[in-house]
Amino acid sequence: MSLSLAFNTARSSLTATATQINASTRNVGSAGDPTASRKIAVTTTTATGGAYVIQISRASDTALYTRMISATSETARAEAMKGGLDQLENLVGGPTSTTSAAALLGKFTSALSDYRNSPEESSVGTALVTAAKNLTTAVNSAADSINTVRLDADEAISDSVTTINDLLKQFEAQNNAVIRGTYAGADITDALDKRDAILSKLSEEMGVSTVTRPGNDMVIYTDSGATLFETTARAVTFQPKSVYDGQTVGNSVYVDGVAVAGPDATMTLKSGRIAGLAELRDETTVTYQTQLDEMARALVDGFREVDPSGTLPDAQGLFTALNPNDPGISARLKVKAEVDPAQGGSPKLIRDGGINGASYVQNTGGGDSYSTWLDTLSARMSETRSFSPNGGIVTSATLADYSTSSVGWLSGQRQSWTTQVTSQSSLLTYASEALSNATGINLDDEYVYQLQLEKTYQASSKLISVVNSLYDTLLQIR
Amino acid sequence: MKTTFISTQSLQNAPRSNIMRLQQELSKTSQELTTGFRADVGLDYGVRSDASVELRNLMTRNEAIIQNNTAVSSQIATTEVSLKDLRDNAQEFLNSLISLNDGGASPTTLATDGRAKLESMLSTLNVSDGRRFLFGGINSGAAPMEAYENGAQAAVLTAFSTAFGGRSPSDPTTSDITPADMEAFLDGAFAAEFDDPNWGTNWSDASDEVRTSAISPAETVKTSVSANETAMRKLAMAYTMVAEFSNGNLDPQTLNVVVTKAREALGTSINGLITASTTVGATKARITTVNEQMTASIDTLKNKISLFEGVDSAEAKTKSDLLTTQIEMSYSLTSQIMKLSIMNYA
Repeated sequence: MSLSLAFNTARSSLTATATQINASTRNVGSAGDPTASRKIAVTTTTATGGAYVIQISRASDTALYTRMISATSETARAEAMKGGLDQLENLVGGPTSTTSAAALLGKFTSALSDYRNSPEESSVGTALVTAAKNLTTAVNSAADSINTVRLDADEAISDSVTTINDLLKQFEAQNNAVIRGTYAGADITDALDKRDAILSKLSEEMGVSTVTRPGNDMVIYTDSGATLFETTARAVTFQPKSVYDGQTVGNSVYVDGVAVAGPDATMTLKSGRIAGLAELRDETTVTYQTQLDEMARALVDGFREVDPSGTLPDAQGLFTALNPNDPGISARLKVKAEVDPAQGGSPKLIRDGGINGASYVQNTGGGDSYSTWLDTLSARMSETRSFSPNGGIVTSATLADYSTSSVGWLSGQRQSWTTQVTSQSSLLTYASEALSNATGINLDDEYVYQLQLEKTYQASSKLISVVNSLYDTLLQIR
Repeated sequence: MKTTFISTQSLQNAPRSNIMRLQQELSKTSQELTTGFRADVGLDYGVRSDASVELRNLMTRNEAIIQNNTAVSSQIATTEVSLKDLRDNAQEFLNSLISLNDGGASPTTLATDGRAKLESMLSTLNVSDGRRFLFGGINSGAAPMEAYENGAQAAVLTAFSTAFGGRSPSDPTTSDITPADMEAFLDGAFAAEFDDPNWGTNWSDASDEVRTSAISPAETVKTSVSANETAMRKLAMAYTMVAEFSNGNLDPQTLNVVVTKAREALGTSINGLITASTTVGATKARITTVNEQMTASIDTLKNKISLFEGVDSAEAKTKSDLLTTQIEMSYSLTSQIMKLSIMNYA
């Protein structure tokens, strides 16, 4: 081995070590960044025995990464549902609430039986009207709450879409950097890390799947198959609504012209925040609204007035609502002004009939203790009715049972989505931990590695100095 | 290849990542500990949580029933007292009538007594508990009985004068009325005064339909007696008969017919009053039973609610202590791991 060869070997080792130290230092610097992966300076030996760094690569594990991404999407979906349901139950009142529609229906029923037993006491009649008004207020505000939750979900979808478009632009920049770097043979690890970080943020908003093409070019599809990114970012569009009422149908989210969430969805997203929000906005809250509407309908129907002579058609009594067969009746339900003392009405009309005029009067004798009509109304309240199957709960029950079933349904939804959040987020924790352990940085390890590199550096330097002194000796002999 | 690699990130975060969950649980547990009730019934029971609303609504209903039944009981108690009053008076009067036969009292004294008893009867039937006239049937808004002078008396006298040639009972010539004529009159025109429609026109504004009350969700009972009951009509008839026609002018045989008819009417009336008392008494007893059942059921419901929504405070305390220990341990571990660095050794 010639001296110059030894000199070259030592020199290349020095360079390689310096690059390795550089990579390790970068690792130490980014140890606190959860999205950073471990950088590895891959070295190889030359034919002459020297070492050199062929490329900087990074620790990665596609399988773990994919698992982490899908766990993120599932967690985000469950959290969106749970958040909406929590908000809804907060607004309408839970099982122990004394102001929920179901609890106030119980109070109203008691007030009705009080009035049936003391029909001559006008204060009891007034108490019945008050109970009826409390009930309609609770039903109205529950309907409002549903609209609030739907509107909030709509706004959240809109925010999510903005975030997605933003992330896709960032993704495009990083993807281009990766492709350029790959062809130029440059260090692309940072760009890859950044691209992965953007992708994991994207997976919170909607479920994604990816395909990597030659040149590290990544293509993103939604988990339902619509193209989100291919070479360039595809447009994700959504038209938010400014107002929600019982009949509003929300708009769909489009990815590259394909509806992926909402009423028109053909390639429906399976996970991600948008999937959860769309389910909340278009299904869960709508089902709950149907339950509430059915209750309101039962109240209107239960208190309808009948013409004793059978000529005139039945008419709405104590409870009234415009277009009772249309969705959203729960928001329109109110107590007839004719029976409300606060609006100049008289509760006696509930006892005697005749809210809709003299033809509907049942108590033709005018007796103050007349209770037959109140008996009929009470019986109607406790009879078994049929309810729309769209309510998702019992279809044949008394109104009281239906209203409590509705409370149970909401709690059941909350419970199942809360469980979902807990299990998905622990899956996410495990996946993230596994990924971090596979691709992350261990400071102690880096420190030891640097000590090792320091020794290599020292040895190479020593070699150079030895070769140098050999040269010196050689030159002095001459 | 390192087989047991662990990143610094996950090592240092491992104990910390659980703290938030533990803290959430601790806040829930301490709330349960202070209130004694589950922090979130809906979340704990899911679809079964509807039992909570059901139990509460059932309790509200039962409480309302008890309250209502108590009010009904007091109405019935007043009714019972009134019925007893009517019965006692009727019995007393019956005794006086018997004593007339024995030649004890003068017919005029009896007439005065009859008039007084009639007034007392009318005022008893007009009893009110402040909110309703108890004997009015469903027409409880107005006093059921008209004052005797307001039409009834005139109608009776008119009937008498129509039957006996334009004379009034005080006319001395009425001594020529035969017992048979008197009997025909009392059973005919006079009795008609106490049948509908004359009864409704001259005597009573009450409704035949009595007040009812739903004393339990499945039970509706009659809780009042109407002033239109046969017992009341017969009673009024007996009093009126004696008050108007018992005088010295009548032939003793004819007077005897009046007294006998009055005794018959009183007998029927007393029987009717006893039946009415028994009926309302039975209702009152039934209400007492229902209320006892409802009270027992409220206790059971309260128990059920507290079983359903309550927490075992000892368990909650243990859980909260355990959580506190766990959290402290997490803190301590985090700080221990943070201190753990190769820098301190190499």
